[in-house]
Amino acid sequence: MTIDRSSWWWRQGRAALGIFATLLLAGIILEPLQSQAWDVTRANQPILKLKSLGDNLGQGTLLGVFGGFRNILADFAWLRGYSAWEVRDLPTTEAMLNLATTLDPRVIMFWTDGAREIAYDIPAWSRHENPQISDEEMQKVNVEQAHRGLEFLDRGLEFLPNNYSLLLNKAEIYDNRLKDKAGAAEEYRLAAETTTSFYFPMRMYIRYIYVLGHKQEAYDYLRKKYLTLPDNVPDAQKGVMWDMIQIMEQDMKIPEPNRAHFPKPANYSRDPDFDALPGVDLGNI
Amino acid sequence: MISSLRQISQIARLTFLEAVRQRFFNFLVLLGLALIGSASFFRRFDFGPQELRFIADFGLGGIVFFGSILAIVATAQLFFGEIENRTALTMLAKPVRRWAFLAGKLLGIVLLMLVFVGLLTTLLGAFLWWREQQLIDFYHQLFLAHQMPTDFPDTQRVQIGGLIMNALLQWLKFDVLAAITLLVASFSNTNLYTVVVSFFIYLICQLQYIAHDNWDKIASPFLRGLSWFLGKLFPNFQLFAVGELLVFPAKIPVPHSAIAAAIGYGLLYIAVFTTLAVGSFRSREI
Repeated sequence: MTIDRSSWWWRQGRAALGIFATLLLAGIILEPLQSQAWDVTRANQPILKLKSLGDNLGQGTLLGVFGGFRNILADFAWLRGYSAWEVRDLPTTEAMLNLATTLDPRVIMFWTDGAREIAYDIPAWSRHENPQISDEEMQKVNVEQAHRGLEFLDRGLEFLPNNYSLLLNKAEIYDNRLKDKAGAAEEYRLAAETTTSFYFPMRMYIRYIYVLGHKQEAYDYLRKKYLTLPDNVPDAQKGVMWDMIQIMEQDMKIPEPNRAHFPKPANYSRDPDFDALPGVDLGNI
Repeated sequence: MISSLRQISQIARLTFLEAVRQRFFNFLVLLGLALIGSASFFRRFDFGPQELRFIADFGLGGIVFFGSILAIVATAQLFFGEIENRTALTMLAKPVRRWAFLAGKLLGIVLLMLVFVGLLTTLLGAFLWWREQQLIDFYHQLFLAHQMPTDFPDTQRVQIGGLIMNALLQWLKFDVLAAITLLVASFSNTNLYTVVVSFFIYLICQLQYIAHDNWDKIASPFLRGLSWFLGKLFPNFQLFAVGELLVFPAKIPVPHSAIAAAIGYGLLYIAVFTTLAVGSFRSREI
């Protein structure tokens, strides 16, 4: 069989083969450069879990995601969810929250706002839509949605481990929606350990474990943390912390030699409405 | 050589002037500017300190989206404009080499993309800076009033130098895309075919990383080989996203070597695709 070297197929085939061979060679030669930049990009990009996209995979989402528009699609999904939230459209709100957080799980606000919508707003919608709902049923909805909000934040913590805002929101859901002081205390403790401005979650943690009966643990933690409090940051409330130590020492009847004996911060005077440790009778303290 | 360089610069200048006069370019620039300008609408929402990240995502997404369309469509239109109007014949009848013609075309489009990316990035940068000043001031007031535990976080501040570097990397990506379109145009007969094929190649380049990352995890030898082959055949466009990590402080610091690698990768691919386009255009009948 002879090959007609002047035929269209021969010429085109040879040209195509040349192009493919050159590109393949370029790909192999440029592999080290590719890896160097790609490894850094990859390390900073969360892995996309396609299964989490679920029913939202249509409508061009997949094309957009793979076309390199993941972030902007996440933003649009969030905006669409926000519009749905404004008109109390529950299915769309939840679907868009999930889509936005799946596409770009690095945005803290998607998780915190989403959790608040799930745990606080959606139960309120139930009451609005069905004013006849009994208190028992309402409580059931509150608890159910609070747990869903916590699960949502846990998913966020997989991508943003030890994130202060996410942990603080978890603590507040335990605190405000479930009235679970132990759960809240643990999240406040975790939040306090993630940041240098740990004052608020630290105070809440100490307060909750103290009233839950873990007095020694609360006292030891407060004494340890007190030493790290700055004098010139109002939010640190060093005076209040000093006062809490005095109250605890008297309430726990700690012998004089074992007490902290920290000097009283300058210009501190107890507020008349002081309730740093609710349930503890301040009496003569 | 000097005369060839002069020819290239002349063709580039004419290509650029022709491109900026096109309605399509102006339309995309206006759309891009409108998209970035519409980010001011986000003030309606309470995004907190993350608002800047949201605006940046939105703006950069717009630049990538419209820039990709422009790089493909403008390259195809400008190339076939010369062929269909027979001006290419007139030009190539003179002592203008085919490689100089293509290099001039590419350079003109590279300049066009520079103007496009420059305009949109300048607007985005100015908008981000203006909004950052407002947010910093707002959060500082809250901090002073003890309504916030911390001041505006440094991790949410825009790094203008990073934004410019990201713009340069995106520009480089568009230039690689223009070179790919030029290669497709060099052997295709119609503008539409060039645009469609180039868009598909663009998508493959965006998806290439899947093949690149997974070929060694595939059990089937055939699929494994195919995956390796595809991973090597097309450039990885996702690696230019390394620039996006520079706009805000990254979780993992971005080394300069990674940026240099992305730049080198882009430049070398432009050279490869342009060389292939020249080779293909040489044997083309006009």
